[in-house]
Formats: sequence, structure tokens, C-alpha cells
Amino acid sequence: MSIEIPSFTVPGQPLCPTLQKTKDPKLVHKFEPGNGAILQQVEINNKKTSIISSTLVGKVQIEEILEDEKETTDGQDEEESKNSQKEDNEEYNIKKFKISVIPNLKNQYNEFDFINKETTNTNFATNLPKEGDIVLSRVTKLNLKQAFVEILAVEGSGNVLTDSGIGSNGHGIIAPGGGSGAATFSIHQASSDLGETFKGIIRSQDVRSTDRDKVKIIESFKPGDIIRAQILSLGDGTNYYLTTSRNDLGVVYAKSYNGAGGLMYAIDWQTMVCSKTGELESRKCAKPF
Amino acid sequence: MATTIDRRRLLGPANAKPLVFAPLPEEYQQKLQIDASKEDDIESQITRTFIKSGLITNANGSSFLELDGNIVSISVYGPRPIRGSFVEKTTLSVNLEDNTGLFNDLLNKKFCQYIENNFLSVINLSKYPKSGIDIFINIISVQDIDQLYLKLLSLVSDATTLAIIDAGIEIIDLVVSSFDYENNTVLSYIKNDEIVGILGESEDSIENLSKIIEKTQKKSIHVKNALTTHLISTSQ
Repeated sequence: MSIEIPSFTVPGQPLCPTLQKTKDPKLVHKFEPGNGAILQQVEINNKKTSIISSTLVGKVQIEEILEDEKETTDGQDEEESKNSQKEDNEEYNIKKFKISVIPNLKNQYNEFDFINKETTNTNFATNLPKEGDIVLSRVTKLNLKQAFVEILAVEGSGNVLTDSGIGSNGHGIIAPGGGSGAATFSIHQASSDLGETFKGIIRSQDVRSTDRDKVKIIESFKPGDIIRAQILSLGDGTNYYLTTSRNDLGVVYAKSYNGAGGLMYAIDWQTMVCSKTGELESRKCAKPF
Repeated sequence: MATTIDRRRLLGPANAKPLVFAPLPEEYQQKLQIDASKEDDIESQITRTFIKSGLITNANGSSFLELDGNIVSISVYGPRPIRGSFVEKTTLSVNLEDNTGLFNDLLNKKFCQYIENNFLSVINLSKYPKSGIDIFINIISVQDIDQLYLKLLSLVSDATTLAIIDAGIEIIDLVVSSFDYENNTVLSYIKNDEIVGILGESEDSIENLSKIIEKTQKKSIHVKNALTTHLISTSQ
């Protein structure tokens, strides 16, 4: 007997056991928690089992995890997992699934996302930037060694703030004591910084993958540019570390004369041209197509 | 004392205050007799309750709850970035704003502490590194501050659950609270039988603990059913 997985859940509702038998006695389904789901231990008839339960209100989505996509990190791990798989395979075939909960929250981003309306999760709260994510960010300041940016949106996951940090909507109230940020605030930092967006750093050696020691930050980015970048790591308390060392990463939107001039277009990977004046400026451009 | 200065927006004058009306003279302030059987009848209480989520558009999530002269609204902001040292898990801060003028500092602190403790154990904290979640409790009206303040606390707790869900923040289960008038105790449950919070203000609440637990647990199941029904009916 197989247990039916609910299609709509509330937090705390069990979704499925981690392992499930199927009609085929040789085939076992294995479930892993994705977004909006969590692994929990429960006791049923004095027997401890692990189940996956929901943590959000929303629709349940089940995706099959294909084995080919799985990356093996360590040589030893690989062998071990192969061995264990072999042992398993003698008796059972395992089919892996990722089970996640997609909240159907109303979001202005949804209205324009005709294609993936059903499948993408545009709620930022469940999609904080994590390693490997592609983000859109705006350059705030430069120095010789690195460029400072603020993260505006996570690709495929919507805006960080509803107004992209423009401030038209405000980011709500801050508690008198400084709220949740108070534990880590120093007065010096807080006075110039409201803590509205997630910040990031692009170090000069992460700008491009060739001639990395000859990179000049000022020839790569200017304040105000919009940059498509990838998250390298969660970084320190204040900044994420980002990289643009890929062809499809770099400046996607820039204006000439530090924002005073017209919109510029990329003509090669390190030059942009202003369509009105023909002025050339150097940037580390993202490959547009 | 605000530690942050907002330089991005035009703000109102710093000394602006909301309009507050003077309290009614003593003879108009009728205190209704508390009917114990009415306080124990959770099912009729649920039918009298008004709930609405998402009214405050500036917040990531919010809820509004009304029952028997108690009115509260909760807003949740976050996850918002925090500065300074790296934190792997989100930090939670709870703030209570009292518009009735009936709360003293101690009671304010009790409420905040209780809500913070409850939700620290149910929010999937590791999901939100480098960020903080701020919960603002807004007390708009109170039924009876002297005898039924713990009933208000149970309502605040239920409303906070809804606000957090509205914000799309991951929690392992619904936190449902129930209040026992006889022993002046409030308990919060997850998964029907796990206690995440308890606050008893009567002297013999420890002696009667098993009785209280039995009683509030039964109530909490009704509350959980009501919340679940509400969530499903409003989200689909």
C-alpha cells in the first residue's frame, strides 16, 4: 500500500515517509526535502521513523532527482556511495525524488511571469541568496581591491525588496533597540547604514578568469552599474562574496559618464559604447546572448 | 532610542506623536463579570473570532485578530539583513507596542519573552543565515487587563503564527496556544502534544499542572483545527 501525498499543505503536515514501497517489489521511492519541507523524526507505534513534513502553506511539488546530475565531491565518498549503491541495487532499484512546497503568495513578480507561474517560487523569504545562485546587483562603491554591491534580486526568485531598494515603499519599522540587527550592530556602522539590502563584494581576482592579477576594478565596474554575478560564498557577517568570472556574468546595464550620459551597449567583453555620443568606456561585460 | 538614522526617505518631524484620547471617566468604564464557563467554551470562542491576514502591505507578513474585546495586529518583517559578525542562523526580535496604555513594562517584557521563546523553537532558523526576523505586536484593545491578560497572550501567540505563515517563513508546525481561566495559565503546543511555552500566574498552577495540560491540550486541538481550516480556505 502506498500513501497518498497531499497536494496542498499547512506547516507541520506530514507529506511522506523518506522511503516508500511501490507496486513493483523491486522499486523503492526515496524522498528528500526541498524548499518548504523538512526532515523530522516521529514515533509511530514505538518505532522511530523519519518523515518529511511541510513548513509552509502551499502546493506540493515532486521532482525526480536524476542520478547523472548528482555531483560527487570526494573520491572516497564516491567509492563508498558506489559500494553502498551496489549493495542496495542487488535488492532494490531506488528512484529519488525531491519534494518541496511552493507557497502561492501574491507577488507582483508573478503577474509578469507567464511561463513559470506554477513552478517558480518568487517569494524571497524562502530564497535567500545561497552559494551558486545568480544574482542581479548594483555597484555602490569601489576601491582598488574590490567593488561593493548590493543584491537586488536572485535570478528566478524575485526581488530582494518589493521596491528594489529604491525606498519608495519603505522597509517598514525598526524596533527602538535596533531589532534583530541590534545584536551585531555597532553604532558607527548603523548610523550610516539602515541594513536594507544584502551587501556583496567582488574582489579584483574574481572579476574575470584570465589575467586575474592585471584586473583594474575601475576599468571593470562603475558605481550605479547593474551586474549579473554569481554567489561564491556567504562571506562574512556583512558581505556575500560574488564573482563575475564567467562569460555570461558581468555588467548588464550601465550609463556613460558615471550615470550622467546615455545608456550603453556592450560591443565586446570589455568595452561598452554609448549609442548617442559614441563614447567608449571599459567594463567587464556580460555576454548578452 | 533609535540606533539607525534613515537617510533615504523624507520622514515626518521627529517629535510627531499619534493622537491619543483621554481614558473614559471611572463611572463609564464598566467591567463585565467574567463568566468562567464562557471562557472555557473554546468552540463558541472560535466562532466569535475574526481573523484577517496580510492587511499591512509594508510588512512581509501580518495578521489581525479580534475576540471578545481583544484586538491585536501582528506584523513580521524579514528575513532582513543584519550587519557585523557572521551568524549562521537568523536572530529573532519581538517588540510590543501598546496602544491602550494598560501595559506596564513587566507585562510588556513577559509577552515579548513568551512569544520569542515559542517561535525560536519552531522557525526553521538555519534556513535564513545572516538575517534577522522582527515581530511587532500591536495591542489595539484589551478585554480585561487584570484577569484575562493571559487570554490576550494566547491570542497574540496564535496571531503571530498566522503572521509568520503570511510572511512565508518556514516553521516546523503551527504553534497553537490555549488559556485556562481557572488556573490563569497559558500553554502553547506544537504537534498536538509538544509544549513550546508555558506561563502560569496562579499559585497552584504547578500542583494542577497535569489537569491544566489535559484541559488546554483539548482546547488547543480545536484551535489548531480552526487555524488550519482558516489557512486552507484563505490560501486556495
